Amino acid sequence: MADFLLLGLFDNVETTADVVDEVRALGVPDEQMTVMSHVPYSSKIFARKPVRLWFLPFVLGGAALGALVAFFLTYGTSYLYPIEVGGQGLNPVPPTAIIYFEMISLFSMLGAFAGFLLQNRFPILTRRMYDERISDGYIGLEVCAPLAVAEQVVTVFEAHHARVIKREDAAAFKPQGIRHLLFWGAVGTGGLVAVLVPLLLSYDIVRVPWINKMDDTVVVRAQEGPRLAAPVGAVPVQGPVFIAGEPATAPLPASEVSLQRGQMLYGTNCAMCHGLQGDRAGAEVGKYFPEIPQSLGARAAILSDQDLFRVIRLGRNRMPGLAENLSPGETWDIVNYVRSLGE
Amino acid sequence: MAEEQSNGHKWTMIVDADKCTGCQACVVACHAENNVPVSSEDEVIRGRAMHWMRIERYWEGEYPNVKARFLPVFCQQCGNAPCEPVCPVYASYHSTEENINIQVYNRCVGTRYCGNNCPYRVRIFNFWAPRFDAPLEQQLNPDVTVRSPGVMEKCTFCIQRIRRGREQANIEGRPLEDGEIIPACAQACPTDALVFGDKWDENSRVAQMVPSERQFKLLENLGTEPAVYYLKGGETHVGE
Amino acid sequence: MLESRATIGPYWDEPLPDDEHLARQVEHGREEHLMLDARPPAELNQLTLARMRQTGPRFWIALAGLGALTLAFFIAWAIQIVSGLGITGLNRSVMWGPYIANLIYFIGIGHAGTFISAALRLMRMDFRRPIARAAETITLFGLACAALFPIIHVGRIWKLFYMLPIPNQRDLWPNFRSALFWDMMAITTYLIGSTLFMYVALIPDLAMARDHMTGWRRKLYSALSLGWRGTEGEWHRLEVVSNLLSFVIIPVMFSVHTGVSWNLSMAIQPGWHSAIFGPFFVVGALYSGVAAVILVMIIVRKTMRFGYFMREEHFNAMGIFLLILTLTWIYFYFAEWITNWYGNLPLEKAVQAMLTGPLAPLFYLMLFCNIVVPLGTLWSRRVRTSLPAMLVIGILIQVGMYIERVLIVSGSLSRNELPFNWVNYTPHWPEVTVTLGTLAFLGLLYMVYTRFVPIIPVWEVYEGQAMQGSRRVGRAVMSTRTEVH
Repeated sequence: MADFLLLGLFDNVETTADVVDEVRALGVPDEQMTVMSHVPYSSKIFARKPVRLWFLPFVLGGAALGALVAFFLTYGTSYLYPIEVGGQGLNPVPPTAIIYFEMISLFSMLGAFAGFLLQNRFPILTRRMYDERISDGYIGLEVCAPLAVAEQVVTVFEAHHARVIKREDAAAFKPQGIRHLLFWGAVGTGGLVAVLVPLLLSYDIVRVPWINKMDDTVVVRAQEGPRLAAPVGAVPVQGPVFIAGEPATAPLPASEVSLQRGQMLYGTNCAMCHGLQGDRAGAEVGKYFPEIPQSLGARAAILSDQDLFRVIRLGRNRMPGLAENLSPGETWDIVNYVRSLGE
Repeated sequence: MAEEQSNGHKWTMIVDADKCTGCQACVVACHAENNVPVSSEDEVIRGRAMHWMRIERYWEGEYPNVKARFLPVFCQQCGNAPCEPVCPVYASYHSTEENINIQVYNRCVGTRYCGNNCPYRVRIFNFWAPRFDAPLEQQLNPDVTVRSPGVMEKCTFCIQRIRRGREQANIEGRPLEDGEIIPACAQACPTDALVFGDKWDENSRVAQMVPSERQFKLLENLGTEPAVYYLKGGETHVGE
Repeated sequence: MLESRATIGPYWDEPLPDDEHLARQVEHGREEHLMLDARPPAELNQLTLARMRQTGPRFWIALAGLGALTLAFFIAWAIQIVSGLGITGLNRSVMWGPYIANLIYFIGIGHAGTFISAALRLMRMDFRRPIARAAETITLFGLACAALFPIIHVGRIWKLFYMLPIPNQRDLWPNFRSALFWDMMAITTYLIGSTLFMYVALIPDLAMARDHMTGWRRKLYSALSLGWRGTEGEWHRLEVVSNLLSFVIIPVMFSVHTGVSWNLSMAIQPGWHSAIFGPFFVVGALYSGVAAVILVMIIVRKTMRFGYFMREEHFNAMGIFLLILTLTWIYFYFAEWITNWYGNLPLEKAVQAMLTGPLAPLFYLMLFCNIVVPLGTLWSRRVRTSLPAMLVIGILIQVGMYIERVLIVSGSLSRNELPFNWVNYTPHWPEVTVTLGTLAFLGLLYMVYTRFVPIIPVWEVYEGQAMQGSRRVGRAVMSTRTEVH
């Protein structure tokens, strides 16, 4: 049965009320009629039943959700992260009351708004019967009726001097159905994403290099860069090394054997930070320490044997001392090998 | 929450104002120990001196009967600290082990509410990036964070020394001895006017000195329960 | 005349009565009162949308000027972030300065918007009809600008997210006992609530705009008006949700500025730790807010040619409202002053000595602007309906209330328990630039908004006009009001 959608525009409430009466008398039920206006008019004016409202569940639901959020923010956070501050106790009542008030207000307002949107089926994504002149002051009456009745309705409209009459097949106006679901699904997904993205960041799942001026302070910079070498023109003193609490130890000659031993020991103890050739290549651990010199050999060239020995034995800055791992002889072997890297 | 005797130590400082000469050695020592930058003259005139420990000086009387009254003032480590509940990120909280007020530099967002609420105005804000002209940057204490601009700081009773002392005692499996932990200011004081210790240890010097007749607390009427006791006999105007 | 609604014409087509005496009264009523001067909505819609369709050169000049100031503000802020807060005038004692005063001020001027659209709505005061949205817009953008200030005044902006209660891998949470946290909750609630409230009331007007525009504008308004047709169901639900939001947002409005004032009164700083700060600040907010609304009304009326909508009666009503608020503000300020003065406690005395001593010029200027000027002038209806006079009074009240905020924030902080720590505060260029720039930013946002959104809630005006009529009683013509729902 083909239904028709009819729209008549009238210029005052009295006429419209009369038309509504007559259309009702033609057998059109109330649900098939809609009155549209540019100002709110009570349903009583047209002798129609007032629209059913369903706000309470939304508002109360919102308020309950707000109370839950407030509970978490107050009791929940102080349970998860109990910190003593200034003689107030972990769950003082006045601040708790304030948070409850704010969150209940916020979520009940959001609930009311959600109720408003959902009850009105907003946003309306399909075409509806409408005429722009309604916002210019005319009162529109939309009637959905089968063909036979539709003709009579049109007659009624004309009898009451309707300014505009529109007539269209009801099939041209599809119900919202799937589009509405898709819209709210998209909104819900968007909301979920908006909630989850901060969690990705706060749980360091996605690491964003962020500003942290504390690791750029002067104390960090002072520890980086070349350490003070011997002044220009100074002659590095070679010879035995004296370290407090240890016997003096003299350098070993850089023989084949010493260099080979040095290479093995270097590979075991030093290459993980300095790289096999002293150039940091392949140094897995070393890539976290920017102050490691790019070329160990070049750096060693400006230092005396004694300095090299002391650095390996006692450590320097973040480089650990290997006094417990290497005997003095082994340390001298490494010194010889490192010197050879610079040649 | 009231501090309970069963938790840890109650670190207390006694300032003997009769012995204090106002020499400011404590101020300098604190700067050196805690990596506190030196403020320029302009900054001090603008009211931004960055002394964690300062000698407050008041002039009394007219010439020739002028008197200089001075008092070393530093963070009182209040038991009921007004600076703690107001920090929105818990950067200022009360330690239940040392029972002093802790400032967490890397949590501080810089709202400066704590600074406003401190009646002693001992909380210092880093208005600028701390500057250490060469070669002072070689002198920095590796045990103490160098702060970034925008962070609040204050006297910590040299908590790095407290922690090291406690760890040492722990390693050696013995209880802490009185006088083992000494903050930089107390260490530098030439007249021994600053005495530091655990008030809950009955044998400590501070526990013995606290019941003195000359004892008073700064701004006691505010109910902040400071952990610092001042000793001054005569001319205190206390109770007037 | 009441019965004569049965005539064929619409509500705006009331014929004049035959009797000349009565006709004159009806005409006079139409001249004076917007509600009695119903005209065809087609005409009024075009009037409302006129300035949205085209803008003159003066608009662009004003926009450029405000834009330049806003740019200066953002540059000053960027410089402050890079070099640290040292470039401001803040110091060890006065750690809060104009940035916090601005926070209080901008939230404050927004309160009038909520009051006018929500409270006056519940009180069924018709003079709010043409100005409600203009006032709400101040609320919206005032809050947005105010929300910038905690970000500006904080030492480490890049760590500000520590204040958000988001679960993180370090299991750290913010401190709900801090008044700043309450602030964050309250301002968020108020901002969202105000936006929802304004949007809901805006939908019918967006639908009207959709119906009268073409091109990209039509698409924009179609999307924003959500398919509104004005059916009974839609209107009924609109009324109910507006009522619900009004009921909730009025307590929230009170709580927001109370919360902001509690930033100050929770501290034990003398001059701040006062129980009266909550209501005092709310009254002060309404006071500066209503004055700001009057300023905006004057500007909007002139620049958008809304003389039809905003008439003498509206300025008169707002002027009376402003006078009532002046008296209320004086009451609260005097109560605070006399309590501190009479108690003679040394700390409060020191703060008051600061205000009457080094800060005397600002203090007396504030008293002049907030007390002398409004009390001396707003009694007269001629002044209340004179737009140049109200412009001057509105600006003076803004100045006075702003000074009051700065005096409370920075003036009190410079005096505390230990006199060694008494340091005076002087503003430096960043504070000045940021303050002026934010005002310009607010103006900029407002200007752009008025060109995208009908700033007069015309459907509310039509609703009022449809409800109001006139009725002959004896030899007089009286206005009547019918409830149409």
